[in-house]
Amino acid sequence: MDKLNRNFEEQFQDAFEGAEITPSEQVWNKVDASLTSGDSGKFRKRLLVLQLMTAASLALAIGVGGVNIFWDRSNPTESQVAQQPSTRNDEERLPDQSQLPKESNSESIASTETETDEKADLLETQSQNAGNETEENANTLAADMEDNAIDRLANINEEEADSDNSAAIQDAADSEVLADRAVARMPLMSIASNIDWLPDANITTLSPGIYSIPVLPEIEEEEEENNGLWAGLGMSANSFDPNFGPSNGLQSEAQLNSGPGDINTSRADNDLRQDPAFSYAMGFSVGKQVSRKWILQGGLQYSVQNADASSTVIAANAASGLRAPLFFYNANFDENTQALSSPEPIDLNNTFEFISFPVEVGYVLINGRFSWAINTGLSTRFLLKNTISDDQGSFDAIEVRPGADAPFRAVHINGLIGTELIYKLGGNYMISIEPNFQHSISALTKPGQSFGSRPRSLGLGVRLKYIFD
Amino acid sequence: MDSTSHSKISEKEAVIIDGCARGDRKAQRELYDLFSKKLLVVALRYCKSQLEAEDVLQEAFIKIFRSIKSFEGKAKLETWMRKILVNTALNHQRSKLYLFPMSDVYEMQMPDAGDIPIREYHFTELLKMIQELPTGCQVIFNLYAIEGYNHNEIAKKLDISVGTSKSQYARAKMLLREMIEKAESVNYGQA
Repeated sequence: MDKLNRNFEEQFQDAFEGAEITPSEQVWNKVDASLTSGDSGKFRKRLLVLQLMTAASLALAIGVGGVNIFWDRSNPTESQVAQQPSTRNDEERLPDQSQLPKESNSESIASTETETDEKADLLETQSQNAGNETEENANTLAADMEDNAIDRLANINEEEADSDNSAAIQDAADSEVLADRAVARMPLMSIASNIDWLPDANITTLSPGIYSIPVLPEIEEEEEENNGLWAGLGMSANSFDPNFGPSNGLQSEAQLNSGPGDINTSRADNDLRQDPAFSYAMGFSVGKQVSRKWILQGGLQYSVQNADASSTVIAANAASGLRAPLFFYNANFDENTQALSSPEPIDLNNTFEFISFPVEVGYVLINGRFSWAINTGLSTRFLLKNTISDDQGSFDAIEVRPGADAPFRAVHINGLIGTELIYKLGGNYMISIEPNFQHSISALTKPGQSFGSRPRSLGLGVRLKYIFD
Repeated sequence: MDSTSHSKISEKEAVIIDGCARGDRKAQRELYDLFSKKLLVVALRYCKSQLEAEDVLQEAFIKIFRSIKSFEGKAKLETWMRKILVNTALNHQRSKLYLFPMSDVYEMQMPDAGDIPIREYHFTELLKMIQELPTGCQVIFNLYAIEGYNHNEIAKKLDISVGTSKSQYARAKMLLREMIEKAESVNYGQA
């Protein structure tokens, strides 16, 4: 019985061995579409992560930057104090200081560095704001301080053999440094006048501190913090949203009719899909750290900005064989072109290519081997072309270049905001990571179109910079 | 994927598998072209119509492409793909299986199928007969007679008792015998 059953089953297995039936082509199309949507789903997830990271970085940078700027304003630094206009008290105090006897001046200077700094600041303030009279005072004080330093060092020379005088040596050295600082903070005229009256013998003794590098400590510090002029190459990935929408006061519904010649209109179906898609940009830039806190940079960038879209209308021209999906606008088809409706939405790629000239100002939050800045600026963008093509390549692609017939302006302006994390690689190189957000300030579309577009994008860039010596 | 690691697959299949694992659409199409015709026949055995079978085939291929990275080459590629398709078809039929619970007809006398002249029929004719079986019988007949599962395995797979599996299989055989006898009589009548 069992053998007979097996025989029965084997007969069935044999009957179906190698059996084949060709499935309809639709099966593969659906598999393909499903895989594509799966791929784009994964990609969209990654794009969303990129967007969230970029947005979070921007929010953090702007927040920290805002706090930093506020803090700077409410707690002015030494240099900022020096730049502030002098007060009446300063003017009143300065003559007193300059009239102090040398001994007491020396003690006062050597006692606290802060106090001397204040004097130096006052001197600088006075010299900048109070004219020749103050300059004379400043010179007097500087001279006093240097006299003191000289006197102290002379004393030290005499007592050099006495090792117990190390404290005095330190005091004298401090005095010299402080005197240098006072000189360094004076205008050049004051320095020159100070140097003129120094006796040659003393210059020989003290020149390392006074003559040759009177302003070097400050300059060196500036140079360490200031990276000077740089040039860089960069690229960025971003999520681009053309942000299509109806133009103000104009019809937003589809105006496309199915009759010949009626296709020469624009359309903006409510059910048309438009999603941000992966885009990229590359270019070069030049910049300069113009001060300890500020950066100025600009450059040239080529960008390919993609958006996903869909359409259920096809423009078909029997004479030319043109079959192109329509999305928002036409490309001035001739009167023989007809609109056909597609049974299923056609997935489209809406691609813009631009050349941009960004100009940005950056505020440095952290300055060091790792630096951090927030940047903002404007980018002038020149449209090269817009291409609408379908994902499957089943239809003709439509290209629109700037011109009288194009619905897009040849040039529009984008606002930029971003943050920049910079790492100094050593030598003359730096690498930076730059989350950024751009939004069109002027519309990409020309006035009078039945749709408007103010593109925006959220991206992450990488830039390698070379710092010139 | 290293082609040498695929012990039971040909070099050509290994190349296609590698391409599919990378998401190469051309390789995916090649794999589809190689096996879709055979797999459609399998799907048709579990379904009632071509449309339904194509749905199952489509779903199975998506699963195959998404899980091909996990294919280790321990079984033949066709066997692995066929298993995925059968499971897809079972999931597809599962709702129907629950809608029409299979009654235990174990006491039914097992027919002697030895004299059923199956070899005289083209597979499309047999396919039609299988599709006419009630869903439960159809599934169990396919699993037992053609895929080679035993009743214990079928019971586990479908979450039914072994007895139900056996009785449903017996019923399927009986119904098929009736269909063949009917077809025979029609054929003789025509002659």
